[in-house]
Amino acid sequence: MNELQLIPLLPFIILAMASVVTILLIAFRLSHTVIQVTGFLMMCLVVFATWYVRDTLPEEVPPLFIVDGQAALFTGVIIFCVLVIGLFSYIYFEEREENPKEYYILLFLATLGAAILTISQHFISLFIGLELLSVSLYALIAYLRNRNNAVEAGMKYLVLAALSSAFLLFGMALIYMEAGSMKFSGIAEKLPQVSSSPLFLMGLGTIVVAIGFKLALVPFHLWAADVYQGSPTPVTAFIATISKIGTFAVLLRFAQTIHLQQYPLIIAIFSVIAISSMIVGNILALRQQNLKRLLAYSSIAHFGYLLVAFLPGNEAGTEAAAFYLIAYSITLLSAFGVITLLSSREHEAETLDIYTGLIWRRPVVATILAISLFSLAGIPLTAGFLAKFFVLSAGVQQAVWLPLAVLILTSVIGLYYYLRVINTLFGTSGTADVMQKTVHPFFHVSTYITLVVLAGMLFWIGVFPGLVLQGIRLFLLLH
Amino acid sequence: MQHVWIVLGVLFVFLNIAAGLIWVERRLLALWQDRLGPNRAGPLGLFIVLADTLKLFFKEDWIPPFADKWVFILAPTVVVASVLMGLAIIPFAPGIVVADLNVGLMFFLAMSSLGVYSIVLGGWASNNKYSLLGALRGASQMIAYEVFMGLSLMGVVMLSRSFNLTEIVAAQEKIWYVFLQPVGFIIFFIAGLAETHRLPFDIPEAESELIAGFHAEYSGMKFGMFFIGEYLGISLISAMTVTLFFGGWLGPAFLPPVVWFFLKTFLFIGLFILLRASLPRPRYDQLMAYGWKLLLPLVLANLLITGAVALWLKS
Amino acid sequence: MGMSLQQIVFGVLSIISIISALGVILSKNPVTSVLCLIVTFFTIAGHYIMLNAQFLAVVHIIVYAGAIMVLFLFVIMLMNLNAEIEPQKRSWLKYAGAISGGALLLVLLAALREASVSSLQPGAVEIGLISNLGKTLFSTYVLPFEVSSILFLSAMVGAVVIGKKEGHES
Repeated sequence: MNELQLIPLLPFIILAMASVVTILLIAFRLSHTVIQVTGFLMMCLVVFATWYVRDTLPEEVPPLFIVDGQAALFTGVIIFCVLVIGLFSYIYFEEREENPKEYYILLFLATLGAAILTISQHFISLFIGLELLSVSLYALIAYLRNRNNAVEAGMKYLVLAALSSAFLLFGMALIYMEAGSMKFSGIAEKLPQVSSSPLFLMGLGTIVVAIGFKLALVPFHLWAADVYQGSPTPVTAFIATISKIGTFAVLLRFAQTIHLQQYPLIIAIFSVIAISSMIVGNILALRQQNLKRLLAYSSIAHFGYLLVAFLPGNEAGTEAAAFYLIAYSITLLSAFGVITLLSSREHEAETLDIYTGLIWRRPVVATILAISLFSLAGIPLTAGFLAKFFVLSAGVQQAVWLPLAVLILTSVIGLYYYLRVINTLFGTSGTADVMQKTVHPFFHVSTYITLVVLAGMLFWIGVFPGLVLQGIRLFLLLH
Repeated sequence: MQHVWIVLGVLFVFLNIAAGLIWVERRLLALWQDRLGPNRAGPLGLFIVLADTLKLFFKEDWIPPFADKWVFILAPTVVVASVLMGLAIIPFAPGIVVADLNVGLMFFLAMSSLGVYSIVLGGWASNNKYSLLGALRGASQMIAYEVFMGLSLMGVVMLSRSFNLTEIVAAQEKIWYVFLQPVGFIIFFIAGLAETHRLPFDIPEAESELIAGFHAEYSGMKFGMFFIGEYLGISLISAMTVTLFFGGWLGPAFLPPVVWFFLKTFLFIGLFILLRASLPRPRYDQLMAYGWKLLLPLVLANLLITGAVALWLKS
Repeated sequence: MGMSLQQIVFGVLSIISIISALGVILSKNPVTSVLCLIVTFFTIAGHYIMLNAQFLAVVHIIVYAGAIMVLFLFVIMLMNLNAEIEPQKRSWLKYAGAISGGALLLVLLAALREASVSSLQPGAVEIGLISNLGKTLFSTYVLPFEVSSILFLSAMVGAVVIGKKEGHES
C-alpha cells in the first residue's frame, strides 16, 4: 500500500469527505441552502476527480479494490444520480417541517457504499460496501418518521436487509471454506477443484439470495412496494437507482471474474429468477392505483429484464446491461422527479387520481412523466426501447430463448399499465390543483430545468445512442 | 502447585479485604464526619465485620413471590464472579499473577462490562418499580462510562505497546504513567467510580429517591453478595489504577514488591471512601451530560495527543 | 476413546452453545431468551480462544455480551414484554417455518456429508494474537478498516436522526 495507489481512489475519498463536511456545516448551524449547494459542489468535485484520475486507470489497490473502467462507469452513473436526487431533495424537504440537514450526510454515505461496491473485488469490501449502503438506507427510509408508513417501511427494510446480510455472510463463509480465499480472483483460481463441491454451490446460492434481495428480484421482492411507498420520494429514487446499480455492478464483477455463467445450474437459477421477476412484477403492477407502488413493481420487472442481459455473460451482455442501467436511471429519475415536484407538505403525490387530467393543468410536468413512462414501457424513440433492444440482441447471440420470449411477452403486458397511467394524465375530471407557494424560486426553476433536460436525454439517447454506446465501450475496455 | 496457591491466595486476600472494608469504611467516614463509628465489638470495633457478616447469614433469605425466581438468584452472583475474574489478571509482584494473558487489559474491560448484568437483572427480576428504575439508570450509566474507561486506558497501551499488565508495569520502571497520562488517570478513576456505582455516582441505588434501587428487594446473603461485590469492585479498580498508573509493585527495595502494591492499593481505597464522605450525588442527566459532553471529548483529545507525541518521539 | 483435551473442551463448548441457542428460540420469556443468547456468546468466545484468537474472543465478550445484550435487556425491560402478552402466531406460520427450516437443515446436511473439511494449518495459529492482528489491520487492510469506520459513522448518524427529540430545533 503506497501513496500512488491512493490516487485512483481520490473520487471515493472526496465522496467520504463530503459527508464529513456536511456534518461540520451542520455543527456550525449553516442553512439548508448552504448545505445543499456545498453538497452539490462536492459531488461535482467527485466528477472532476474521476476525470483527473482517468489516466491512472486501471489500477488495482490490493487486496480489496480495483478501480477500472467498469468501476468508473458505474461510479459515474451513481454520482450522476446522486446529483439529480440531491437537487430534488431540496424542494422536497424544504417544504416539510422536519429538519432536512442530516439527510444529506446519510445520502452521501449511502452513495459511498454503492460506489465502494463498484470497485470491490473481495468479499470483505463487498460486505462493507453493502452494509454501508443498507445502514444508511435504514435511516433514510424512516427519515420522515412522523408520516404514516415511514417507520413501517424502515423496519421492514431493516429486518429483511439484516436477514439478507446473514445469508450473504453465510455464503461467503462457505465459499471461503472451500476456496480458501475471499478475493474474487483467488476464488476463480481454485474454481476447477471446488466448482462441483456442494458447499461451494450452496454458498453461491445463499449469495444469490442476498443479491436478489437488494435488487428486489422475485421471490425476494416482498419489501419493494411497501418500502417504495413509505420512503420519502427522493429516497425512493435512490433505492430504485443507486442502490441497485451498485449491487448489480458488484454482481457483474463477481460473475465476470469467476465466469459464473459457465455453470448450467447457476444459469438455470438466474433464468428462473429473471423469468419470475418479469412475470410477477408486471402482473402485480397491472391493477395498482398507487404510482410509487406501481414503479416498485415495474422496477422488479425491469431488473428481470436486466438479468436477461446478464445471463449470456458476454461482452455484448455487459454493454447492454450498462446501457440499460443508464437509460433506466434517467427514466426513473425523471418519473420520481415529477412525483417530488407534485408532492405537497401533507400528501405524497402517489395516488393516481392526483394525476387525472394533469396534462391540462401542468402540461410540462405531465409531458415529462408521460415521456418517462413511455421509456419504461419501451416505446420506440425513447431510451427504454433501445435498452431493451440491446438486451434482446445480447440474449439472441447466446440463444437464451425462453427468457427472451418471456421478456417480449411481459413487455406487452407492461404496456397496459404504463398506458393506463398516461391515459389518466389525459383524463378530464381533474381535481382543482392547489397552487403551492414556491419557497425558493431558484430551486424550483432548476428542478424544472433538470427534469426537462432528463426528458430530453431520454429522447436523445433513444434516437442517437451512438455517443453513449461509444462511451460505455471506451470505459469497458479499460480493464 | 504454586499456581493453585496463587489462586487461593488471591481469593483469600481479596475476600478478606472486601469484608474488612466494612470496618474501614465506617471508621474512616466517622473520622471525616467527626464521629466515632463502630467501636464496641472487639478491639477498635474490628469485630463489626464478623457481626455484620453473621447478621447477613442469619437473616431470612427471602425471595419475593412476585419476583422472577431464577434471575433473582442469578443476579447477585454475577457481580461477584465478574469482579473476581477481573482480579485474575492483576500482577501483584513479579511472577505472582493468576493468569498472565497477552490481552489482559481487554480482559479486565470485558469483565468490568459484565458487572452491569447484576444490576440490570436484579432490578428487573425484583419486579418493583423502584428497582426497575435503578436498573435502567445503572445500565445506561455503566454502558456509558465503560466507553470512557476503555478509551482512557488506550494511552497507556500506546506508551507501553502492550496489553499485558506485567509488561505495562515493567514499562513504568523509569517513570510512572500517572505523570505521562494524567488525563487518562483522572478519567479512568472517574469511570471506575461510575462502574462500581459508588458515591457520588451511586445513582442506581440513590436511597433518597429509589429506596435502595436495584437491590431494594434483596435481603440476607443475596444482599450480602451485592455488598461484597461493591467492595471487591472498589479493590479491583484501585488495584488496576495502581497497576496501570502507579507502577504496580515497583517501589524502593526496602519493602517487598507485594507490600508496595497493597500499600498503594489501600491509598486508593481510602480515596474512594473520602470521595463518598465529601461529594454530593449529581442528578442522573447531569451524570450523562458530564460523561458524554466533557469526558468523551477530553479522552479522545488525550488519545490524539498521546498518539501524536508517541509517533513524533519515534521518528 | 482417545480424545484429546482439546476435543473434549470443543465438544462441551459446542453442546452448551447448541443447547443455549435452542433456548433462545424456544423460551417463552424474552428475558430468558436474552440470557441464553449471552451464554451462547460466551461459548462462541470460548471457541475463538480454542482457535487462539484471544483478541477476538475478548472483543466479542466486550461488544456482544457487555454492551449489545445489555441494550437488549434494556429494551425488553422498557417494553415490559413477557410470555402472557406475546401475540399468538398463526399456526400455519409455525408449520411453514418448521418445514422451511427443516428443508434448509436437510440441504445443509446433504452438503456437509460430501464435504471434506480441511484442517487448520499449523502456521496460522499466531494470526489471532493482538500484535499480529494490529499489524495486518493497519497495513494490508487499512482501507477496509477506514471504510468500516465510515460504516459506524453512518449507523451513528442514522440512530441520532431517528431518535432525535421532536421540535427541538427551530
